[in-house]
Amino acid sequence: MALTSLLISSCLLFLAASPALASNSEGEALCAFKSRLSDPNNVLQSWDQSLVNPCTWFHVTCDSQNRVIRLDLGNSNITGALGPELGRLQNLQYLELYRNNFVGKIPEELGNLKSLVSMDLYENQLEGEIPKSLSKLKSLRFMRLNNNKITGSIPRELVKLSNLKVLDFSNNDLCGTIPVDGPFSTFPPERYELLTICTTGALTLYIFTILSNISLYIFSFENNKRLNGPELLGLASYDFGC
Amino acid sequence: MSFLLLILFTLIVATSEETEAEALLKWKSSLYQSGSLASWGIRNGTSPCSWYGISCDPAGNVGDLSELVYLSLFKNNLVGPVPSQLSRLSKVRHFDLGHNHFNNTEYSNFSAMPSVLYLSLFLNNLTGVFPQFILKCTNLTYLDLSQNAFSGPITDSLANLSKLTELYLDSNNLIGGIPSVLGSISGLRILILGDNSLGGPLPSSLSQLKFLERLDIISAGINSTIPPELGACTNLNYINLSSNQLSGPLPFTFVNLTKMREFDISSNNLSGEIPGEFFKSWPELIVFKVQNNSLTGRIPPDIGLAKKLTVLWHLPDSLSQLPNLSFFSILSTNLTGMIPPDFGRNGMLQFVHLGSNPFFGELPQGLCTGLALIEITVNMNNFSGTLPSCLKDCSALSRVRFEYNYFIGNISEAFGVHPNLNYFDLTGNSFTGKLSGDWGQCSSLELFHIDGNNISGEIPATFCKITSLKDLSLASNLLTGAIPMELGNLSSLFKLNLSDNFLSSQIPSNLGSLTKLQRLDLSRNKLSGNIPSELGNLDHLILFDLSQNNISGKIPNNLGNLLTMQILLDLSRNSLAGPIPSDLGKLIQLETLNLSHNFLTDQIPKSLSSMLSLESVDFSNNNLSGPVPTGKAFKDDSPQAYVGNPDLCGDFSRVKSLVMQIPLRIHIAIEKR
Repeated sequence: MALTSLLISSCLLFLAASPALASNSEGEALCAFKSRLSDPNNVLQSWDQSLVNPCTWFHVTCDSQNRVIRLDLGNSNITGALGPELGRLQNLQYLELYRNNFVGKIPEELGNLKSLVSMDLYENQLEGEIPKSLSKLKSLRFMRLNNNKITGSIPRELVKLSNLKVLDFSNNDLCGTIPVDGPFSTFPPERYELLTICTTGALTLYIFTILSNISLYIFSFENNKRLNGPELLGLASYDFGC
Repeated sequence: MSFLLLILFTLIVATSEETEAEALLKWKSSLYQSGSLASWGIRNGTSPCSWYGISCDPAGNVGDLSELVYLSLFKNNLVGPVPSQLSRLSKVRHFDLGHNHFNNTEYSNFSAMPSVLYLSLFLNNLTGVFPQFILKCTNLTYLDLSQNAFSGPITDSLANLSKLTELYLDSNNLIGGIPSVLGSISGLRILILGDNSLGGPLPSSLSQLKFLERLDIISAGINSTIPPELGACTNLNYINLSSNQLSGPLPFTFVNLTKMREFDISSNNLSGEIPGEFFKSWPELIVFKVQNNSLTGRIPPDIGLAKKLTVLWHLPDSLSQLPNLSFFSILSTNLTGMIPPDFGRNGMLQFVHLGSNPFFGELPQGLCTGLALIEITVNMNNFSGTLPSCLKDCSALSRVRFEYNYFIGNISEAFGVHPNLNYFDLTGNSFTGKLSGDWGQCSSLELFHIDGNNISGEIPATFCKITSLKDLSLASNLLTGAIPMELGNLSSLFKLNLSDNFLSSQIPSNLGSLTKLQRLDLSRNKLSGNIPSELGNLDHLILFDLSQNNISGKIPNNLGNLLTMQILLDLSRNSLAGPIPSDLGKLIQLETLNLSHNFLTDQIPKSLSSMLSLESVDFSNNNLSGPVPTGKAFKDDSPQAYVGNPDLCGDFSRVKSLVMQIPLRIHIAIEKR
């Protein structure tokens, strides 16, 4: 992918006019994130570190206590690496970075986002492995990493994400087997019964009963050529085929 | 009138002829009111031991007072001189005659009181020079002569009281300066000398008082600089030197006074800058008063670091006289007060940042004298009144934040043409008037919010020339008329909120040109006509709310193309008819779907089961029929999500087929409809 534009964005700092005020650590983290990026559409132009907090920056949403809860940068034509600083946004609920040109690895620091509900990194150029630290994201409901170049196996630790509802790893380069515990079987066995698992290629359907309801969850692992089917517990190690 | 006496007034010294009871009764008869002493009488026996307020020793004597250790006559109405016999109480440790009307006392007959630790003559009418006998009470730790009319100097011999920890001499007529020997009373913790005519300098010897916690010398005519050596008194948490003639700078050494809680040097002649480092170094600071001095420079932005600051502080009037003041910033404190009316008169103000404080009153009319204002952010205060009239001519204005105050006035008259204006937020005030067409000339404007005011009239088409506009919110006003189709020219717009107004007529199809739009909220208006299918081109939308209008026709199929829809799709409370398009099932990121209170017919499409991110749905009050789709969001919602539909029911066919195949624990709940 092209890194033609070397116009590295940096946060505005009106040194001559309004001097930088007492710093805000979330604003600093976002500016560090921005400093690695090329932003030809000037989506991040309003990110001005001389302001007392980032809550008036476009595409940043804060709660009533001026803490960042959403980052809505989908579809913005941004290029660059993600970097570790995003992990400092302890109140971040929605990380929406889909449909850009983010490159490099998924930073393990993203595992520190303890309030995160939605991680949408799909349709980028991300590579490397899925960090095990993402298993710390206890509030996570939506994880969409599809359509990247992610390699390696699916970390077993991700079965700890008990709130996970939608998981999409399709169209990557994953290997090994698909976990079947935790949310990957989705519910603790004493409350729910797994009726059937259907696979077509590497697409897996899990159908459950929950009392009188029947629920369908689709965990998509489509188009991961080296990904084998659901793990056969005890018979093959999870990184079989990697 | 308190008669809670633990002991007797020693004028009642029983002579050898009188019994103790007779002496007590003689005293009682001299009192104005003695109702509490009704039990005192010979008829109750000659022993006063059972009388109210009397305790006897084991021998049955009220006793002489030679063993007395504690004497308090505090807060009575005793008049006349303090009897010198009182000083013969050689064992007394606590001696409090405060809050009476003692006067005309001759101290030369007083003995030294060798045991006394606590001595208070506070709040009487005592006169004369400093009582010499006190200087011989060398065990004194607490001495309070305040609020009398003592005159003459504070004697140097006060240093004999080497064990003093608390010294109160305030509110007298003392003269002759602050003796520097006070610095040798090494255990002194509290030193209160104000409201005298002391004059003279503030001695640097006070820096020897390593345990000093409170230094209060208000209004004493002190005339000197503040000795920087005082920065060595690191236990100081209270300094009040207000209303003197102190001059020179605030000593930088005060950064060492890390326990500082209340700091008041107001009303002096201090000059120089306020060191911003104070606020970093004083984490316990609650009160900071520096007004009425000749302090220069800018109020340090670091004042925002003093998180406990809660003082009632009027901004220094001297601010108005600072000839070069161009930058002024106080953010997110608990400071309150009004902006001085002359503020800005120097004509140099460019940056005024007063966000998130409880400041009140009006903005001074002269604030923008000189028309140099570039940024004015006064959001989240309690400001009221109209805006300064010079604002409309401030052609350099770039950033304006007035949100969440109590401002009034007509905004078209308050503002004019501002070619550099980038950020403009008036949310949450009581502004009136109409949107001027002049806004169209603000060619740099990126954010324009006037939510929650009383703006009326229509949205002028010229408004829509602001092609730089990215975030437009006119919500919760009284706007009428149609949404101008020219809004579709605002190609940079990513947020558009026109909700909660009285806008009517159709949604212009041009809005479909706003391809960068992420949030579109037209809810709570009187819009009519169809949902233009062009809105299906808004493929960056994450929120779409048309609820509470009079929109009719069908839901366009191509709303299913809005694949990024995430936060909300709300078409509720309209007059939509026809089926729910099955393409809506493509909205797999959508978390909340509300189609309630319409006239939608047919079945809920099965494809909606693939909307895996749905947390909440509402189909109630339509004409829907058929089965409810599968999927957690469709089943786990309360029945309220489906009420008001004549023919909806659950789907039991799959349950039935599976029952045949596998032993299941299935509980079937049948609801009576």
